[in-house]
Amino acid sequence: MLESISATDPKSCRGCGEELPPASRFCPRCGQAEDGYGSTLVLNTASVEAPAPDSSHPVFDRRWNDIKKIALLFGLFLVCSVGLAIMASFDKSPKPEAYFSIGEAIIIIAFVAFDFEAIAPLLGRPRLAPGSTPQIVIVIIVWVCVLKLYFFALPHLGIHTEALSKRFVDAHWPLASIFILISIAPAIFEELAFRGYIQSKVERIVGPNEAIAIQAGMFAVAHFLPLIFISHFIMGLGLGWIRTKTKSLYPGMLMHATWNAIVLLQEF
Amino acid sequence: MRFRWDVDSKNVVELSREPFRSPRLSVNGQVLPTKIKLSPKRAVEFQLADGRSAALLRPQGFFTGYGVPELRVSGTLMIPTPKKPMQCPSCKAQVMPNDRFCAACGHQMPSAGRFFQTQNVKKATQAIAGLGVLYLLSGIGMFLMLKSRYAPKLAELNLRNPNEVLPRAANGATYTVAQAREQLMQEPWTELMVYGVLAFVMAGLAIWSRRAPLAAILVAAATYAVLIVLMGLNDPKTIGQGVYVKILVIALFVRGIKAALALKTADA
Repeated sequence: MLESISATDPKSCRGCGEELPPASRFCPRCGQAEDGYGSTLVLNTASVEAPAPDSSHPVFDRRWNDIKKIALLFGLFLVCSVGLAIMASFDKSPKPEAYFSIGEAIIIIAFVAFDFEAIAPLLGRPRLAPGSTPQIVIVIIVWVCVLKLYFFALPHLGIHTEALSKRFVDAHWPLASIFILISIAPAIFEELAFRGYIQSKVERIVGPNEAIAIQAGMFAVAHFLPLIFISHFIMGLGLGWIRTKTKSLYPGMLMHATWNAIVLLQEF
Repeated sequence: MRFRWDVDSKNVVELSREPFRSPRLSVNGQVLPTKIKLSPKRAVEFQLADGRSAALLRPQGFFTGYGVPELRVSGTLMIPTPKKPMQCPSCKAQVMPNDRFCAACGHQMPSAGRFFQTQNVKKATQAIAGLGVLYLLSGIGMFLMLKSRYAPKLAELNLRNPNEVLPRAANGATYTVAQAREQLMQEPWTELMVYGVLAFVMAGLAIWSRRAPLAAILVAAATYAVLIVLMGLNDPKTIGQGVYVKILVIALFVRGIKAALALKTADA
């Protein structure tokens, strides 16, 4: 069979006249089948290629703009964190924390105000699919256990983190301010930013599961401590999943605030 | 830098760019007499031996485009001939870079635009993996360095009374001998763990990037930005260190995100 093909090896393509490399079974230019007998004329056009990726496609432009907006939001959050770190090294009072919360709040409120449609559907009442309640309860329990285990293990591995409330207690700030600045404010604004704005934008590009992972990754690194990258990634995954399941930001905010409050309460 | 395009079996375009000399362009071995000035806006136009028109453009920007000069023959983008021979993705037979179909199996080859996008995604993935290896090596290096640096101090502290209070340290705190010893013992391990977590994160992202390149590169870019800022806060000198590598990595990430997004948009 092979010998008979090479014996009558065509020198040029019958379809387009292109000179063929030796022992070709198809024309590299037009895909014409070159069987050496001239009997079957099969144009190999069955596999129609997806359109070439075009960088000036309207859908591409819109998505690329969305990614740029997310990068800007994330960059501004980074600036806030840098400001907090620099201020905190000079000022031992909890004031930098307060400024940081205000900065984050202004940034995310501005983003939401200019692009309200992005998160509007998430501000309604939580809507549960029938029968998904046990699933959600199990996920929350596993989520709490994993986080507890991680933060239980950290000091045993020789990592000591400063108590969250230390600055507030040292400066004699009222108890309410500690809970507002450490439990409630981050819960509201981080949920709005990561589970709200970023996840909704990314969801339209890559689909729900990858969107959960992307916002969880960004949420984890935005906390600025390499050793908690992993725990906060898990935290972000849980919160993102709950937000996708309930189609609302409020359960996530509640979980986030509760978790932070538990961490705080353990310090007293 | 030399680039070679095998447009087809009879037409070869070559471009050589050497420092302090204007670029030389040759068609089938004959150097074009005109002076070549590559720019991203105005194309250098010339003709191939068979009369087809060709145009050469400099790559667009450092952070966008394909990172190689773009040759178009009759308006179609061409793939430069790689060092390793190209293979058909379907049957692994050797193909010429600008064949539209595989001569052995008739598989339709990806267009040049798609080829470049895939290439950019691959490079970004390699950059993530490279960062992972870099962090692992840095962690081990830091661990060994700190161990050997603290060894004499530890030996000295071991001879002293554990409850003795040491003179005020650089950070303003006072330590007993036992506390100082524990700190010096702990620090190399903490450093190793931090870099270990980073290496782990990057390795995970590199693996994830094969399945979900857009998501993984986005998270990797966010992580990398945070790490640059974080290390800069820790020690401002590090911002300037390896600044070219940092810019290159960021450029690879931006190109990778853009390419992955373009591929995603075209496939949808």
